[in-house]
Amino acid sequence: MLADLEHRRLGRRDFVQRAGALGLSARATAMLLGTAGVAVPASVMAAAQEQGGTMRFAVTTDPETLDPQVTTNSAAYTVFDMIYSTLIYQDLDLTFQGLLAESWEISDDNLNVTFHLREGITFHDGSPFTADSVRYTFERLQESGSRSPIYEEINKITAMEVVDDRTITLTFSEPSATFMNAISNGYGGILSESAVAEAGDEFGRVASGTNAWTLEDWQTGSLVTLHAFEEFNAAPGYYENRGRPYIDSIEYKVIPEAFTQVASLETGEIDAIELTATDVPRFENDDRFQIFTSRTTGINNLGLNPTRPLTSDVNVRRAIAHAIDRDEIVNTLFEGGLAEPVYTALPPSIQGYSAEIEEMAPHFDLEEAERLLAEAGWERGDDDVLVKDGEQLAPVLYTTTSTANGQIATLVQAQLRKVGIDMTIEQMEIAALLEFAITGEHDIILLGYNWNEPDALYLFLSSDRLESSNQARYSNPEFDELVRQGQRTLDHEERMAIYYDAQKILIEDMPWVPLYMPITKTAVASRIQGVDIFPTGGLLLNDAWVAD
Amino acid sequence: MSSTTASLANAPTTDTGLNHAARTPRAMYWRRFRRNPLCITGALLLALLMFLAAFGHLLAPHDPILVNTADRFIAPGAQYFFGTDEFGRDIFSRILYGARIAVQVGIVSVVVAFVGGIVLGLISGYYSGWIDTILSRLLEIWLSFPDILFVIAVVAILGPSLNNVIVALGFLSIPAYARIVRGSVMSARQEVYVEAARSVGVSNARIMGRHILPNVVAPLIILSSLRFGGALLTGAGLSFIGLGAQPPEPEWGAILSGGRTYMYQAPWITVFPGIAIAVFVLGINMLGDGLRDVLDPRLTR
Repeated sequence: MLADLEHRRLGRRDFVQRAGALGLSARATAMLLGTAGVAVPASVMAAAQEQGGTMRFAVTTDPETLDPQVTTNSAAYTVFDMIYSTLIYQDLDLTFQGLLAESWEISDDNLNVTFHLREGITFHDGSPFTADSVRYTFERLQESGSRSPIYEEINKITAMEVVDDRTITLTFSEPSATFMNAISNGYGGILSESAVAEAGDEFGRVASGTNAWTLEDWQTGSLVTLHAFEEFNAAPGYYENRGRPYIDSIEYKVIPEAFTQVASLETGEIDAIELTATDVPRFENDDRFQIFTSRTTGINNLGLNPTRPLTSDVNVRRAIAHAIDRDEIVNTLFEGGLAEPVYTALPPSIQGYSAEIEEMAPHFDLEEAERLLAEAGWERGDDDVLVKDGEQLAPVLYTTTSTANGQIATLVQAQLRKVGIDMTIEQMEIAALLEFAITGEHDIILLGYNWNEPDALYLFLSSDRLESSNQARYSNPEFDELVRQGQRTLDHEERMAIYYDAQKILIEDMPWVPLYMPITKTAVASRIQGVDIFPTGGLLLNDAWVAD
Repeated sequence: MSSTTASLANAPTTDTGLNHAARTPRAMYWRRFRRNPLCITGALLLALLMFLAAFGHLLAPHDPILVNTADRFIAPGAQYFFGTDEFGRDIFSRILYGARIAVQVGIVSVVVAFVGGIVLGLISGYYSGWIDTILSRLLEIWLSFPDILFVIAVVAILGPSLNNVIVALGFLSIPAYARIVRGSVMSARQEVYVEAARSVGVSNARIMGRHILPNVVAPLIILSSLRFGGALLTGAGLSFIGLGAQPPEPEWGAILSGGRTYMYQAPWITVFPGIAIAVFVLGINMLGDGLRDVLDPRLTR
């Protein structure tokens, strides 16, 4: 039963939430799951959930800005997502629920969405939240948000009609299946027009949203401090506590070195960090900490450039997919369960993942790899390296300068060497690498993505994206048509069928060799109680309290 | 060589009888060298490094790039002297192979700087005038770049690889050499023997090569030994941040960087290449300092 609950996160979460109300830590809950029916004294709850205290996080860098519309910086997202809230939110079952919006209707032609907004919500600066705030937010994004990942999505809005203070109707140029997801993430945070106007150029250094936390202080390069918003009354439905957080303030301390972060956690100087592979075993077996696990909505993969001579043959690409032992990669470099092997472009953490596709996709099979390479006309030559028409099968793999990518590349190199492929590695600084990738002069590229929508297939593999995010240089008109259709199809079943077909093409063409889905483990000091984590990342803190 | 000793004898010395036993300058330098513990220690370490670079591959018990995930994180012992890394590769063998890379980085970058510096310095110092003005200003601009930033910029343009790092390190040192050469040339130009050579119709190139260049050899040797150590250190630093050696090359900085993540569970991955870098860079710098003491007449007690 315990194992079962572990896999069905929603069920476990519900349980944890109720247990949380009883004043139990996640660890205690885990024990409770094994010994159902233990009575818990009601007094624990009253004693525990008092307001007050500070929770301290370690982060590797300062936020770039706290303006949610002009950045893709993850350090920034972490903080501004605490300050701003959105019209709707994605629930644990991945459906969309109202947050600042109470409800919404979609017209029959799928071209109009009318949002009915909640009453009695104010921004941190005291101004009221109205339909005009929504209009202002989206207009500002259309004007100056070209760096925002949801910019294109917001630009599909052709008209915004403020019906009254509580009602706004958006009109679209074409039906969009991805719009709801776009405005549910932090980049769609609703801004206060008066706060932006007052701050002027300073906006981004100051912030004023409707979420549970207000920006109290920001010492550049060292510390960001948030304080509970006293009037907060719009927490997502997965929280027990829908009002002001129990914790008084949150601190983000900038500690760049992973090593120092770990030391700070151990000495009790901070309360939460994301663990690296080598630290997991130590912290998992330590009662002073709770471990929260979440899955990344994305994968890391090898992009095999079909426009390059060595990788243009589909047999070579399929052979590479068969030659890679994902289990070895995950077991060697992601100890402590920090990754899961994947075989599909959409991993299990994203809707559209299909176990059937996974079954059909090329798995580790050295004999099949050798067979395909022989079929493609490659024969072993000097040093056991494959040769055809006097040329060696010696592709170059490009990746970023991160240690992890260097390690993965090293292992891939060793694995490919076994079937006679003599791959070399070039590491480049990320910005330079992405620029270089557009020229298409790479045979293989090792990168990853993180996008919580099956539209990732469009973003990273459609030929519309050859000049930006399609680093694999893949182009297939049939595939393009499917993923474009996926963007316009609002019916869930129909849409998922489209992505099934699209992924079926991918496992035939093999422009990507999916390697693994990263998993995040966050260690939280046990003095912070009632914490949980969203299945795809992000600690849930509204029910949490400081227990000392 | 005779001109070297001749010109060195020409240099102003303040020998005051302490060294009266030395009959020739060369013997005097050799005697000072032998008695200088910095020189001896440094020279021995440099000799060891050279030996490892030449014969390390014969001594290595394992293939330095062979991945064997069954033998991961084995602590130092009889089978693997310095232990194994996250891929099961033998650290001892990797460090032995890495010695060759280190020497390559040091020597090639010093040669590039030496040749480039001498050419620019000779031209600048010998011709003086507007050529000198332009070259000097250029060298000053060049010199004003912070070391690591300059190398990173060059690598960013040429692409990350060990060869580009070596070239960048060489170019980085050119102005330091050029300025020393220029200074010495300008003073030597006034010497009577240069004037004499010119008066009998010796060509400019020959004067520079035969009569002026030997004057600057001593400071250049000192500079080279210091730059050699510096190149080794900067090269390792760039590989550490992923801009130099590309995996799986067993460059010391790269090994160190790879092991950083495993500091708790496998400190030997970081410790041994760290010791190698520290010891050899220290040794080369000791040699450099020692040589300065030996060769610089003003430092004589």
